[in-house]
Formats: sequence, structure tokens, C-alpha cells
Amino acid sequence: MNVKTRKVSMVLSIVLLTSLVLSLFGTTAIAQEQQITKVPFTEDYSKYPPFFTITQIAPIGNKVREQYTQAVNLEMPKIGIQADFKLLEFGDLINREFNNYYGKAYSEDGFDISSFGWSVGVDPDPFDIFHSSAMTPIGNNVTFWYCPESDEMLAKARVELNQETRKDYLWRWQEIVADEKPYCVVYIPLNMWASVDTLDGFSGLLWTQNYDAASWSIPGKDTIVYATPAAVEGMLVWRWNSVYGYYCNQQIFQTLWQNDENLNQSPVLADSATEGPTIVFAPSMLDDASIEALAPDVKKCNVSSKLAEPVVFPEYFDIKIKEGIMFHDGVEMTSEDIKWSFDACVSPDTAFQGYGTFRDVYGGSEIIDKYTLRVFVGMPHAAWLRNCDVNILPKHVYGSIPITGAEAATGWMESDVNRGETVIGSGPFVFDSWEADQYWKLKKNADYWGAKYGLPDAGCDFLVLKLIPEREAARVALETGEADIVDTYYNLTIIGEELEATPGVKLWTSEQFGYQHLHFNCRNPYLANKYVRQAISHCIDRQGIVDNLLGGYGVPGRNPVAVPSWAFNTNVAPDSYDLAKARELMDMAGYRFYIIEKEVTVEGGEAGAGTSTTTLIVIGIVALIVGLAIGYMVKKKD
Amino acid sequence: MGMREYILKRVILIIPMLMGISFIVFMLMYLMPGDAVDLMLALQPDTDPAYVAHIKSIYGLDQPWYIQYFYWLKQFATLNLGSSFLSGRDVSEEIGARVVNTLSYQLLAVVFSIAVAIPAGIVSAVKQYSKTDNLVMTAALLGVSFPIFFLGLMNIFLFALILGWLPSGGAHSTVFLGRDIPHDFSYYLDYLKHLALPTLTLGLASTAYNARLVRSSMLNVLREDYIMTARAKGLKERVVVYKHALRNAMLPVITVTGMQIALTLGGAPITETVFSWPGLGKYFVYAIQHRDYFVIVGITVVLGTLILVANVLIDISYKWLDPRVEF
Amino acid sequence: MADNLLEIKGLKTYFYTEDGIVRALEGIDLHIEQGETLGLVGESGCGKTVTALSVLRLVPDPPGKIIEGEILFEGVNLLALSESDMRQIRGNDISMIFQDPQSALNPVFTVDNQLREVIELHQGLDKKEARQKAIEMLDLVGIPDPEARVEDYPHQFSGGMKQRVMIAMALSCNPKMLIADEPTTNLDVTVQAQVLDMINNLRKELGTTVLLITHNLGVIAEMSDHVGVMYAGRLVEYGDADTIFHAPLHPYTIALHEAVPRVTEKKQKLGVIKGVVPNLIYPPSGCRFHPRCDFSTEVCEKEQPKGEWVGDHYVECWHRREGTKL
Ligand SMILES: Nc1ncnc2c1ncn2[C@@H]1O[C@H](COP(=O)(O)OP(=O)(O)O)[C@@H](O)[C@H]1O
Ligand SMILES: [Mg+2]
Repeated sequence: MNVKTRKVSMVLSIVLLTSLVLSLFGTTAIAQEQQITKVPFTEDYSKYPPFFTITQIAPIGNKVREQYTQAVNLEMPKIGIQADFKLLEFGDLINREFNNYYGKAYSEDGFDISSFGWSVGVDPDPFDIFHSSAMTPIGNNVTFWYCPESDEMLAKARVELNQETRKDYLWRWQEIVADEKPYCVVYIPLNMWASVDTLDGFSGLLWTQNYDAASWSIPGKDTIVYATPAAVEGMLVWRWNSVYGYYCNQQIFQTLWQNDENLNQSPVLADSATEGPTIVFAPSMLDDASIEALAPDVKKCNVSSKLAEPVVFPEYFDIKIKEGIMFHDGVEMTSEDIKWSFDACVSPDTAFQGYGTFRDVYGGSEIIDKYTLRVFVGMPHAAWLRNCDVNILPKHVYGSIPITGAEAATGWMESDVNRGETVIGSGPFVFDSWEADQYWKLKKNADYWGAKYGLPDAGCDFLVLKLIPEREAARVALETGEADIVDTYYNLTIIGEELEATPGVKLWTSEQFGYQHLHFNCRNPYLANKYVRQAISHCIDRQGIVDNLLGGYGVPGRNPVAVPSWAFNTNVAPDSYDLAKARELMDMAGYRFYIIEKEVTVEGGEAGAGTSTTTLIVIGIVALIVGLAIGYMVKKKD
Repeated sequence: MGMREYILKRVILIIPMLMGISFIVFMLMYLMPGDAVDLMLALQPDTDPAYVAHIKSIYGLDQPWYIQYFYWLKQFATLNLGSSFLSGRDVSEEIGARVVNTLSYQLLAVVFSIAVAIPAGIVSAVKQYSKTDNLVMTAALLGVSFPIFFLGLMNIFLFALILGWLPSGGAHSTVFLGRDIPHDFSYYLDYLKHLALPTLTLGLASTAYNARLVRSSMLNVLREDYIMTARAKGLKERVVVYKHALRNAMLPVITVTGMQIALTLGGAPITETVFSWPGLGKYFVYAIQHRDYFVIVGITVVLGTLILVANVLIDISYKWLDPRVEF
Repeated sequence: MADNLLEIKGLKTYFYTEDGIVRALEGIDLHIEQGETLGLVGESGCGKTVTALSVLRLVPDPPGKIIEGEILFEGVNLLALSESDMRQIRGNDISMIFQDPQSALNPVFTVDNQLREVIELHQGLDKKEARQKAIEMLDLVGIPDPEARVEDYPHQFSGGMKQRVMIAMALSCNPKMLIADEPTTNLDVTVQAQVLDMINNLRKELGTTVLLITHNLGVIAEMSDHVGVMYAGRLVEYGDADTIFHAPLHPYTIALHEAVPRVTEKKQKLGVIKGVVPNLIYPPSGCRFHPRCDFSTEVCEKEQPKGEWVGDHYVECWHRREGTKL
């Protein structure tokens, strides 16, 4: 290599280096010129493009629900979420949510955000809605939410017989839910009945909570007419498609325990229940074969067990029934009848409505004496006794109808009892007659056995459930005297104010055992982030919804537990309606708007002035290649 | 073709038509998301798919729809409509319990509508642009533009609440509900009272339409030459209108009434809902909501047959009214 | 003029339409002698039908009204009769057949029914007798096998046959006067002559007076004793057939003659009068024909010509074309 060559390479190298350095310098110079400002949380994000787009669904039917879903939907763009709003047929919605394997999104026939309402019992068991083993399609955990501590609390609460300890678990669980927000409870509606103002003994509770029809009376009237918006389909003893079938059932057939008007469990047919010795129940896992049978896809889900850990629990309860309980045909009820009724309910072939719950409760039984039945625990459950509330039917009347095998379902459906011909129970009312789509008529049981145990006789001679589908028509019927009580399922709160002003009409209200909610598909990549879910919760103007959509007849939502229940955690505050807070939460989730001002002017006469970084880099690279090429050629000449 | 062959042919044609209708209904039903068992059990806590599958197999819902259709067809061949998933009773029994209720007010509504619409339409046509005409036509316009639901509620408010003349809904008063109620004169009188408002409501809706139809048809006929001929014979105006004009004016009315039968039946669900009337229309909607497949098909087939038969009757009456018609 | 069966004096019939008052008849004087046939000609829209309907008081009301004039039938003013007395005259003393036999019979009743109706009404016959009479009438108008055909519906007859039925119906009560409003216009050319012949024969046989309306002069050439020419709601010329056919005075009548299709010529060409019948809501001033008239002068435009009788010949023109021989 001669001097000339070296000189050339040196010059070239300098040019090259300078340009490279310049290019770097130019970059920094420009970067420094970019102005980045954070959009404040108080600003409405809807003028910016959304962070992400999802689809929000709700079932058609409940007007208030349609409206609140839409109201929330209109808030979401303000925090940067665009949600397309779709009202779906109920069947479509059910399919998307309850047949949803591995949390499919709306675009894959699943869902992203949805709303509907749950009704829950006095004794909460949220396991099936919130436990990770109960994800759809196995259970009702439609959200695919998984939280180990929540799972633990739910599993423990489920098998704790001590109510105080159980309360601790459930209160803690509600705190977790309030933080994690798989559900946003929006409001709890009020139940509202309207009646003639002379009605007496009415508790203003749903019949499912308190079967109080026997205590109703209206002075001077021997027939009470109760207007219902849906039909009582028929005398199906094991299954009812509307709540009214169940109502009527409960007046004719009876259960071991029922709630009193303070919602405490009190015995009806039962005299007492004695715990047997405790044993350890091994975890019950769903085996692969049964999972395979459900659906081939399911085993890929997070399905594990019904009972995750070993549990110490009584092996059985000895249930003693009262003496002298008489069926309507004058035959005394014995432990035989209890056993037979339990066996019928646990048979999948009778298509018993409460089969899902009862199957877990009941592990078979043994007759001890005429009045005592030893009932083995199928699976430990805190509300074990409460869950034994299936109708007790007379075996001597219905025993000939099979309760297992293929003929059971058709046998019961085609039986006399389903046609309202031989209906024999033990309750304060006797079945009188029934006509499709018109009415159910119950007659006072004149020989009711309850008096000696302090159970009231029916307060009226006849109780007629009359189908009146339209609210306005039912209201006219009340005013004209064609009906005496108008049921709560008419959503009477909509005309609550008018009813209050109507002379001769009395209103009865109570908080519903249930809640209306939004819930999320936690496997949606955006909604998997709990801050996003919290943010959406702060978009809900709960008080506004109660005031404007419910006319004030409701309570803002907090916990997914019935408000009147002992298990309701009163320490959890409802989420505020606060969009700034929501945007802050979106920031925590990683969604924030920045304003980048791109204007670039570099002062002085530097080489990079006015050119972009890319140009400089390109110049540098070209120079490098040229330099190398020249160096190579010079070298070759040597 | 003679009348007898014509009727025979039409009656035989009903069978493939029913098969076609039922096939389409089956297809549509299975396009709806969810089936009866899904809806029944989905919101129950603790339902596991194995149990759902078990219940579905009891009802045969685990089969593909065309297989289910085939089974249904096989049953139908023996005139068996299957049984309801929901109530367990035979579909024919369920329909039987309601069909009379539906036909009663539907037929009365048609009779009412024709009985009112024809005189109203005639008066209005004969006295075209008179005060009577304006009154009738304004009333008809109102009648046409009110939805049945609204009209029904108005009737309830007026006749049940304000005037207190008629019951607000249902088929029987409470005192007539029950096992040992004798079906005597007062029982049926009570039924008739309950029948009045649904009949009136549904009738009014089609009266309005029919009156306008009769009027325009009548106006057209009154311009015909043979009306002038009749007058030139020295016939009384009454004879001219009621003999010569009316029969001709009835032809388009009859044609439209044939189509209206399907239309008024379409008003059945709303009418029956407003008046708590235990008929097929309300039940049909209920069955669709609950995916009670055999009931849906059953009602479709029964109503389809009724509509087809009604149309045959209308064709026959058409032939009777207009000798120019050839089958 | 005791032998005049019908006498129309100063008849004015107007139609009160939304567009204005249609002065369809603006003062018509016309008479028909007992037993004769009067031909009434004029283009379409001249008011011939309205004249006929006015006689029967069947002008559709609304919108039509006879506002002035007298119609004397056997010396009795028909316009002064009650509606029920008038019904006694319709179909009984005066009957009418219409232009379009296709639509003049009610399609939904049998011929028997429609014939009997008028017979029973005016002749007081019972059903059986009336039916017998109906069959006789059908036989009279040349319908073959009338006993069977009487049970048929109108649509089972051809156009010519229907017009025969109409004639049978019109003559069944032995009316004193028959008004035939363009009875052959809508018929096949071959049938036209037969029907006209029949009317002609029957009226001779029965002694019926006939008012024969047509827009075609040729049609009445052989049949009428007198001819009236109408133009735009006026009678412009009247005279015995011979005079009108061979020595017409009014330019419109002359123009009508020229417009008659001449079958004798090699090429049958239908001459037309230039222009159209005027709108009768705003009729032309003066002589209504002046805008279309080759001979019109200032006076025609300004003043309505006075009609003038020369013997039995009436003409309404300022420039009567005296001595015009056709
Ligand atoms: N019903 C009617 N309403 C209005 N104008 C009518 C009516 N009938 C006839 N006219 C008018 O009266 C005039 C004479 O009609 P018409 O007597 O039918 O003529 P034609 O000489 O052809 O028989 C026409 O201008 C026509 O428009
Ligand atoms: Mg004419």
C-alpha cells in the first residue's frame, strides 16, 4: 500500500465517519425537537381513534337492560374503547355465552361484553358462576375468569356448615370480585306487586323465597285472583318452564324446609335433621371419559373438579319428618315417600328441573323408621339441607310411573298428573282445575294437617292464577276487580308512580334476589386486563340508571350477591361514575394518548439541517460503500 | 273442469303444500339458535353438558334436523303431530284446546267486518263526497292507521275500565273458572261477553280496510254501463245498488278477503296477547320463543290447512258470484 | 203538433265538474212524431247521449243537472214528474239500448233474470209468465234455441247476440219509444246491418217510435224519417231524411257527409272534419262551429245564429248553403 492509496483511504474514512456521526447527530437533534404531551385524563377520548374495538351484546326483551347496555356503550368511546352494540335474540345470546369453548370472541361466535341478569338464592353459592372449574360449557362461568384466591374462597364457602365462617369467606370473595371485576353489577331492581288495598298477609317476597300464599286473605272475598304475565304450562311436577308452574306446585306439594318471611330456613314437613359422623370426602374429579362425553372440545378447557380438595363433612343426615302429615287423599306421609321422591329427583330420566343441584347433594338414602330417613351426602355443601328442598310426592299414588329408564320422561309427561287429573300433594291448597293459557285454580285444603304444628290454613277458599300477558290489561283488571294481585314480573315499577296514585291500589316492594350486570370475556386479549374491566365499571352511571331508567325503583349494584342476604358484603362500595378515573385506569392498563408534535427545525448550519435521519443514514451508507470500493480498487492496483 | 274435480284437485294439492310448508318451517326452526332444552336448562345452575345431551336425546334433538323432519313426516303420515317438549301433551291436544277459541273470534271478526264494511262502503259510494261519505272514510282512515295493539288497549280502557260494560280480557269470568262449573247458558253468555272485545278490535282493523275497498269497488261498478241499463229499466235505486251493483262490487272484496284471512290470522298473536285470549296465535309465539318444535310445525300445518281450505271455499264462492270464472 | 210523441223544448243540461261547468246541452229543441224514426247525428262529444239520458232523466247526478227546458212525452212534462212516476216510464214507455252490448248486460245474472226483471216490473206477470215472455222476445230478435239460451249468462253470447238480447229487453214491455244510442258502433261490420235491419223490422211490426243516435250518417240513411244534426250541444239542422241527405244547408252537415266512408270508392277512406269538437266548458263564441267552418265570417264569431224554419226544415247558420246539392 503506497502513500497515495493511504491518503485516499484516509480522506474517504474521514468523510465516511463524519457523515455517520452527522447522521447520528442529526437523529438526536430531531428527536429532541419532538414535543410529547400526555392527553389529560379529563379530556374526552372519543375524538381520537379508539385503542381497540370490541362488540357489546345484550339480549332483546328487557327494555331497561337494553337501555342501560346502550348507555354504557355510549360512554366507552370516551375512554378510548369502541364497542359495537348488538341486541341479540335470547337464544342466540345463550348459545354464544353458554356454548362458548375457550372464550371465543364475538367474531368467532362467542362474545366480548354482554349483559343479562342472574337471580340468586338467599344462601349464595356463586361457585357455579365464578369458579374456574365451572367455565362454560361445563358450568355457568361465562367470563372464563380465573383467580386462585377466588377459587379458594368459593370452594371453602361451599362446604362450610358454620354460617359465620362461611360469611367471612364470602365477604373476602366479594372484595376480590370488586377488584378483579369479571362482572360489573349494575343495579338491583325492586320487585313490585300491586294489589287491592284490602289484601292481608302478603309478604312482598317472591314465592321462590317465601311460599306465603296460604297466609293471604282479602276480607269479604273467598277467591283471590293473582294475575301473571306468563302461562302456567301444565301440572309438570318435576319441571316447569315458567316460574308460575313452580309457584303453583309449591302450594300443592311441599318441601322439607322453606323460608319464613325473614328468609330463615324453617321446617315444614321436616321435624329435625341430625348430623351423622363426619368423614373425609375425597376430591371429585371429572374423569376424562365423562369430559370426552360432554363434547370433544371441552377437555382443552380449564375443567378440573367439583370438589378440589379433601373435605371433612358429615357422612349423612338423619331427617325426621313430622307425624300426622296427611296427603290430600287422606294417606299419611312416611319416610318411604321422601325416599321415593328423592330418588325420582336424582334420576336424569325424569328431567327434574333442579337435577343439577340435587344430583350433587344426594348420595342415596336409607329408611330408618316410619318417619326417619337417613340421607347420605353426595357431595359436601354448605347449604346441603336447603338444597334438599324438592317436592315430596305420594309414592302410593305415583309409584307406578317409572322414575328411571327411557319411559320415565315420557311416562311423567303423559301421566294423569301432567293433565291435571290426579294431583295429590300435602299442602294447604288442593288442585282444582287448570286450562291451557288461561288459569290455574287451587282450592283450600279443608283437612290441612298443619294446624297442630302452627302452620296456617289457607286464608281464602280459592286461589286463581290468571294469565294476563299485558301489563296494561293486568292493571285494568286490577282496577275493575277482575284481579286482586298483579305479579311483579310485569315490571310494574315502570308504571309505579301511576299505580301509587291509583285509589284502592296498594304496592308491595322488595329488593330482587338477583342482579343485572355487565360481564366480560376475560379471554379477550383486551378485556383480560383487569384495569380495562375496572375502567369500564367506572363508565357506568349506576345511580343515573336507577333514577332515570327505573324511576328510582332500584338500588345501584355492588356485589354479585342478593342484597337482602346475610352474605352481602356491605363494606364494598359501588364504583363511582367517573370517566377521569376510568381513563386513569386505562393508563394503568397501558392505554394512554400522547400528542407528538412532529415539527422539526434544527438551529445553526449543521450538515443534517433540514434533512431527515433516513436521508443521512442513506448518505452515510452510500459513502461507506463508495469508500470501500475505492479502497479496494486502489489496493488491487498495488 | 267441473266443480267437483276442481275441489278434489285443490284438496289433494293441500298435501304437498303442507309438506312443503312443514319442510321450510323445520329448516327455519333449526336455523334459530338454541333448542328447547338449551333454553330450558341454560340458566339453571349446575347444568352439565352430559345431562343436557341426555335430555336432548330423550327428545330426539341430538339428530340432524332433516332426520328429525323425516321422523316427524312419518308420524304426520298417521296424522300424529307429536307431542310438546314443554308440556308433554300431544300437539293435537294442545291445538285442540285453543283452535276453537281462535276461530271463534277470527270468524266473528270477519263477519263483523263484512257486516259493517259493506253497508258503510255502499253508503259512502252511493253518496260520494257527501258528509256521510267523509265521516265513514275518515273513520276508516283512522282504523287503518291504528296498530291492533293500540286499538286493543283503547278498547279495554273504554269498554272495560271507563264504561265497565265488558270484561278486560280472558275467556271466562273468574266465577266460571273451575272443575265443576256447569256449561249452561250463562256460561256461554259470559264467553260471548269476553269474545266481544277481541272481535271488535280485530274486526275494526279490517273493517276500516274493507269499507274503503267496498267503496272504491262500488264506485267503479256504479260507473258501469249495466248499471245504467238497470236504471233505464225503471228499477228502484235500491234494486240497482243491492242487486246489480253489490254482487259485482263483491268480487274484488271476496278476492281480498281470501288474502285477508291470512292477514287477520297474522293479527292473532297481538290480539290474543292484549286480551289474554287463550288462542293459537299467542301459543304460536310462545312455542317459537321456547323452541317447541312440534308445536310450531303443528300450528303451522293446522293454520295452513285452514287457510288453504278457506281459499278453496272462497274460490267456490267466487265461482258462484261470477259465472264468468272458469276453473 | 198533436202527433208529436216527444217534444224537447229549450233543454239545457250542464255538468258541474271540478274543471268547470260542461255545457253539454245548450238549449235543444227537438220533436219526434208518433211512429217515426228520428236519426240524431253528430260527432262524438256533441251531446247526443246526454240528450237521450236527459229524456230518461238518467243524467248522472252529480255532476250532471238538467237546468232548463221541457221534455213533453205524450204531452206530459217528464221533468216535472216524481221519481217514482218517472220509473214507470223507464223501460215501459221509453226504453233505451246502449252503445256497448259487451258491458251493457250485467255479467253475473242470467239473461232470463235480466229480461224477467223488467217484464215482471212493468207488466205484472208472474215468474213463469215472464219467463215465457222472455223466451218469446229472444225468439223475436232471432236468437236460436231461446228456451235453452235464456238460462245462459251474457258472456256466453257474441257481441251481436248480446245487442239482440238488449233489444229484446228494451222491447219486451212494448214501449212507445225506443232510444237506440249508437246500437251498432261497437259491432262487427257484418253484424251491423243485421241488427239495424232487425230494429227497422221490429219497429214497423210493433209500431214503435225510434230515436236512433249515431255519429255515422250512413247508418241512418235507410232508416230514418227525419234527421237531426247536433253540434257541440246545439241542434244545428233538422229536416226530413231526404232533405238532410240531398239538400243540407248547414256547413257542418255538409262536412259530415264528406266524412262518411264511401265503400263504393276503391280505397275506402274515412274523411274527417278538420279540428275537433270544442271543449264545452269554454265553448267558442258566436256560432260554435265557426272555428272549424270554411265559410265563417266575422258575424259567425260574434253572434249565435238564429235558427230558422223553412217548412219542415230547420237550420241554424248565418250562411245557410242554399241550393247545395249533394
Ligand atoms: N258524466 C259526465 N261528466 C262530465 N261531463 C260529461 C259527462 N257525460 C258527458 N259529459 C260531457 O258532455 C258532452 C256530451 O257528451 P255525450 O252526450 O256523451 O256525447 P255524444 O254525442 O258522443 O254522445 C261531452 O263534452 C262530455 O264531455
Ligand atoms: Mg254517446
